[in-house]
Amino acid sequence: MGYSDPSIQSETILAVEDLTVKFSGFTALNCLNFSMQRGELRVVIGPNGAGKTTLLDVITGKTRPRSGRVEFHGHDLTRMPDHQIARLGIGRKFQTPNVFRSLTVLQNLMLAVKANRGVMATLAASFSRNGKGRVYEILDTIGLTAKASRQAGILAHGEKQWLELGMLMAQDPELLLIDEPVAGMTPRESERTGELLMAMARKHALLVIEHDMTFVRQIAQKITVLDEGKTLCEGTVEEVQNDPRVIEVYLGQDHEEHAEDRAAVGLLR
Amino acid sequence: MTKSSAPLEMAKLGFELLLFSALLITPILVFGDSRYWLPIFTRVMALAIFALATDLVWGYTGLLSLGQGLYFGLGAYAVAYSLKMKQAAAEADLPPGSPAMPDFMLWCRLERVPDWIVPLTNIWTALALAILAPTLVAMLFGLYTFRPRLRTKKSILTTLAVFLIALAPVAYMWREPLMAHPMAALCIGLLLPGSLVGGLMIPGARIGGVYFSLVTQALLLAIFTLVDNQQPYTGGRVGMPYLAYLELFGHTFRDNKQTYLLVTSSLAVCFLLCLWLVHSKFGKVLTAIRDSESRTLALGYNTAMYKTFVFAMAGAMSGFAGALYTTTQRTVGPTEVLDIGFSIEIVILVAVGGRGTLIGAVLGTLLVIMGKTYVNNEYKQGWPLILGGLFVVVVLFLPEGIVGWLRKSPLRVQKLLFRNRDLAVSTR
Repeated sequence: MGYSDPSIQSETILAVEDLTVKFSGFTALNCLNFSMQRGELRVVIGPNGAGKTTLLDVITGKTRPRSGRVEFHGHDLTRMPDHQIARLGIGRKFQTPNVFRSLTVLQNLMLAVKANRGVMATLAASFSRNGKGRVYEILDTIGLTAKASRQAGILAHGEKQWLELGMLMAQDPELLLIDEPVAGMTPRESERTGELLMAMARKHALLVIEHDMTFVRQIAQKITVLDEGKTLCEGTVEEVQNDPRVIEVYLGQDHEEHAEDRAAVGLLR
Repeated sequence: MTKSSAPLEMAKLGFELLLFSALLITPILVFGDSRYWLPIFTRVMALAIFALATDLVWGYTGLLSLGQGLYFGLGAYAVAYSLKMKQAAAEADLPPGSPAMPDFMLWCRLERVPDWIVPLTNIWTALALAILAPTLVAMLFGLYTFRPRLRTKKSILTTLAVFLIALAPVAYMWREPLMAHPMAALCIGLLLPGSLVGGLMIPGARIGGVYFSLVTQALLLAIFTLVDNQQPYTGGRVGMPYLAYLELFGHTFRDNKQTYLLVTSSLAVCFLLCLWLVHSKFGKVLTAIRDSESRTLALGYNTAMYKTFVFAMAGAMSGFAGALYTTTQRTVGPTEVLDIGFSIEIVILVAVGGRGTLIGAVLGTLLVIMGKTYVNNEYKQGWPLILGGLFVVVVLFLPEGIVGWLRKSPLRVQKLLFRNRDLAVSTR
């Protein structure tokens, strides 16, 4: 792992306290407590409906909680407009590829490059010169240099995911929230994505939600297991895979709809 | 732009500018002496400015406003008051520049020109207001509809401030019977409930998609009813016909060619301004909002402010277009400029030409309005049917409009060639 310096790991950057989210009667998160250190790479797993994506929605301001606090460097995020949360240094990769499909790959990245996001500053900014060197570096890292002037909408699924990761690199946030980065990818693509994430983990704190256990084992250092809106357990890959409660929530469920999860545990064991 | 695509982009841009110039110059060369056709082309060019504004909002930012006519109408009426009073002064043999009573006010037995109309006697004040008033209304409307409704200290203070600003003109109007006053009615009818609902409806979401279209349309309908019912102040259903000619710097625009040049050069300025805007970083953010607002927000762009800015800018351009339109038509009425059908027609013009392409808005306006003129001359009632049919055809077969279809045609030819080559390989 690239973030080996223990002295910088001691600072808590994200603290979630007693977070509760309800959607018309359904409790998505139930008094959840969770925290992350600077530079940490954390993987969150859990069965369907465990509240993984809701957690990201609350951190990024998309969903407002019923009660509880979310603090990032001491700022309360639950009362903050979502663009300001992003400006504080929290980036997000959505579950399905979310890029600007009618802009070119290059333009997508250039909009993401760290700069003043204000309306007037943007009006005055020169678009063609804005952070070009950094953008070409990123294009190279995500392997899309040859397709820089293509429209993002016509890229393949995997390439769109990489482009979105590239946009996050350009945005350069302190904390990155990544929702199922390898869903729908071929094994080779997902391995490549793992490498990209590991490279990003050297500079940023990463919170990754994932189902694919091969992939989790490739990147994970510390795993948090969510179930029914609560933290079930936390620990290393070995600790988690030997925890009877984890096996219970994954294997205790019935029928085909959880076949994916069972396959995951099969890989885990 | 990368190196490989730059020459192609430049060629496209050059071609567009060439086409644009051709569209502007041809009418005056061919129909320069026609007393029938040239004014129609002048009218089309004024509408093209309006279409450009609609294209910025809908084509580039993805906000389908079905009430853009409100901003157009504000500009049209601001100038109409001025020209109407000028006409009245000329008819009553008063010195030009004095606030003479227009005929519709006399008929409704007003004692004098209302205070809020008097400053409009000056054409420059009227022109300034024709741009500023729609900008302001669009800005306030944009802030309320686009902002997320979060109960933060800042949002509550903003709401309070807007509420107080809305109260000020009401307090001023208090001297007269309140609702008889269009301005007061406007303030009470729109700003007060607007600020209250906007500020207090806390956990609501940003108004987007089809709801935005409905709200814009409802606002236009409200204003139409207001203008229609306030005959002493607005001329009611008839509006203000028989306006004076526009006079700027002591020069009267009586000649058709001069009016055409005035409107066309305004269109050229607006076109270049829009062209710069959509190619700037700001323009790319607008397209980004259209493609994926969640991604734009997650990158830290305050999309509400961007949308408000472009909506206010489109409001300014619409108002300007309305002002020019009135001076060329020399009449204004609610059934013409504040009609919902008119606002929808503009959206169709943009769709036919190609949304998200500025040249498409101009081309669409030219083709459809000229078609409309022709159809109205030949078959009186046929136009709505044809317009509806046109819209269906565009949606089904030309979703990117004429310009979008033309832009893709090099690609289509390429595909055809490659398919043939594949065929040749497979048969060999």
